Amino acid sequence: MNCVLEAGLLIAIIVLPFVTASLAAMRALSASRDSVQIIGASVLLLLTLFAITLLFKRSGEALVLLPGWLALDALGAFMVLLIALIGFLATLYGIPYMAEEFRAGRFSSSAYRRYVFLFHTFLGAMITAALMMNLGLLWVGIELTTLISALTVSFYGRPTSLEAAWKYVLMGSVGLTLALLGLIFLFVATTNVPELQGQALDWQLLHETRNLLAPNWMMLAFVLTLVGYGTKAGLAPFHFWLPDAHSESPSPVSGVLSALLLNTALLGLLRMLSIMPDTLLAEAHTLLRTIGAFSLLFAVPFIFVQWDIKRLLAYSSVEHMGIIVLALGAGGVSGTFAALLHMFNHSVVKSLAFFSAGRISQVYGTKRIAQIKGAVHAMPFVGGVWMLAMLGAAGTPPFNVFLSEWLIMKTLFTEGHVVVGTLMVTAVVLVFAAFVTVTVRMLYGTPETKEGHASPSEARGAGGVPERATRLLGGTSLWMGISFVVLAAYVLIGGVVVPSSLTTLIRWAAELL
Amino acid sequence: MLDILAWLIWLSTLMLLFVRYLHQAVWVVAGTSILLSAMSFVLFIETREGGLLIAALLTLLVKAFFVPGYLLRTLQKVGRPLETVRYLGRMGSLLVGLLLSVIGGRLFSTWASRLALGPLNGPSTPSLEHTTAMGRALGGTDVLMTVALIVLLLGAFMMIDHRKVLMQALGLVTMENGVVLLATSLGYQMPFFVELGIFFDLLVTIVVVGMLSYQMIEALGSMATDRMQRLKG
Repeated sequence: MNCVLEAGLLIAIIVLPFVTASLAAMRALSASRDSVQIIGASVLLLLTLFAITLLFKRSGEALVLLPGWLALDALGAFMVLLIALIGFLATLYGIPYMAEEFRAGRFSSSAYRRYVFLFHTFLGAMITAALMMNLGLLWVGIELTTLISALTVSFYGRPTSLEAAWKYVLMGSVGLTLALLGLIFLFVATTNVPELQGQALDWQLLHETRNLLAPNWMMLAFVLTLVGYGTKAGLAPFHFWLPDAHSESPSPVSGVLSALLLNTALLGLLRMLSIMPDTLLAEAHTLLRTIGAFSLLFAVPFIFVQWDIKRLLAYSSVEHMGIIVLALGAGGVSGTFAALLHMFNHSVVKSLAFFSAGRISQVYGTKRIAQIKGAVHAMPFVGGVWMLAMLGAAGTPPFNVFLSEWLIMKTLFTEGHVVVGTLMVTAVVLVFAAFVTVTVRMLYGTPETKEGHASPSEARGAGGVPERATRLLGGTSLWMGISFVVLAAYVLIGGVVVPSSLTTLIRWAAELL
Repeated sequence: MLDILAWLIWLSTLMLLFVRYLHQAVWVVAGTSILLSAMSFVLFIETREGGLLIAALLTLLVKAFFVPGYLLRTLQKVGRPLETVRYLGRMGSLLVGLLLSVIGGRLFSTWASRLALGPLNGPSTPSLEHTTAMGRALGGTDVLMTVALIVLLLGAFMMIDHRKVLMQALGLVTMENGVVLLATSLGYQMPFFVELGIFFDLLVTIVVVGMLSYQMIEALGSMATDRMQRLKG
């Protein structure tokens, strides 16, 4: 009985986003497209929470659908939780945002249907990847997320968005081809382990027998997958696609790319790191710290010179991915724990930042930092949220990102990596300075453009939202407001109290690896 | 037999650096794919492993028929024969291709002696030729592995050299061919579902590439990437 429930639950979690995508994209249902999306995304979140409850009841033991192929372990559950949560909030945000873009005549109604379809398929592909317990299929899943999201990047069809999508597909695919080569070398490394014959890419088995794997081939496999998945995660020097893709896609997608897609690539890296033989761990950690530090070094100067608000946020993602990889390179359960917590915090704060920046540039009609002035007068609510998101992303105490950054620095210093630790402190301080400058410049001053005042009637959201609620939120529709409030609430409290169920889940995931 | 096929694959990959029109390049890729499929089939005859037959059929179906067919259809939508554009020109590209082949061969011999044939650290290194039935059938041939490495390099070079997006995509397909060849030369048979997934991926990649390049022709009037230099920093 339990078994059937488990299997059904996992199947539902996998299938639901695709069903939502197809239903919401149907011409016949276009009148109720928004409700279909909201229902689909919220049911997905509820199912995920239910699955995690089951996981807690069994104290972290995985829910299995197909042994060796599809299962939900603590790490997978953490990823799916993140995808379902941010996916739900991005859906709420995306409905009024895209409705306004549509009203402004930026795309046709058939393009709108295509967007809705791609968005939910994208979420579905990431969830499927997170449930894959076979490293080969995990690779396939990650590649699929690249391809689907490339079509959302090129959505507006502008020359620049096509350029961004093309760069993204090409760099992503070359990276993943190298990762595939890495998997082939991983296979070679397994050929003399009798337990692995016939199921060579089963992660669980690989994890158990990791010390029997041939070390020279494993090192080669690790380097190739690090380059491959690192390209996908936006680690420098393979990050060139990232700022383009993030700045050219519609804002709900930018948020999802930064908050979820990059993490999905890191999942591939995490699973690979966890099957490294113990003798090679030190070397692998050194590599991770090097590439992490490199990403920090690379991102900081670019953050200082950005004139485009979404590109600024994109480089901040490169910085945070670098920090996460640094934490992984610190090693041990505490390093992995800090890395996963930072993943969560970064996702929350960065989706909030992209969403609010998207809304501000929609109202101002530009992404140029220099042309956005006085946002706090023109749109107090969104302006306030934006300020919080920027301060949060810069790692200001006492917000959520500060907590995990502090944890990572502490781990780095206690593990004796003083140089990278110092580097990280310096980078974080510099980014803070840059972010504060930009935020102040955008929030204060007098609005220059006529569009500087968001008129509530223009910015009304979907489904006949009551006027009063709209006025209260200062020209932001109710759905958008909800997604802002939820994310902002976590940024505010997440530095002081982390829900104990979240820390338990992350601890299980970290111990698993 | 296998060695001959491998050298033919190398030759046809080199041809990609020399062809004048895009549709010719697509035909060359179809030819390469048929050679790859034939290689899997020959291995199947020798080893009787069912997986190889499936691989041969899938390669034929996906890489030799669907991918070229889809790309040719995209090209037909454009209506006129499109020329290839290379940074180094046709002769220059061919020359670099030959140079890369020599480098790839040299690289292989050092690489093989360091990794596969002489254990680097520890006694647990598998000796490749005798671990699987396929490895035995291959009889430890170095030609296949050398060609695989060269094809990988040539694919990467194509992506840098060519300025038309479709040719860059063919460079990607070529790199993928290199990986598959390398897997074959190591005697590696992917689990069935994984293999299926990889083919599915390739299909989706090509469809996405086709859609993007068509959008580009509509928006930019060209598939050349030199019109796409606006995003910087």
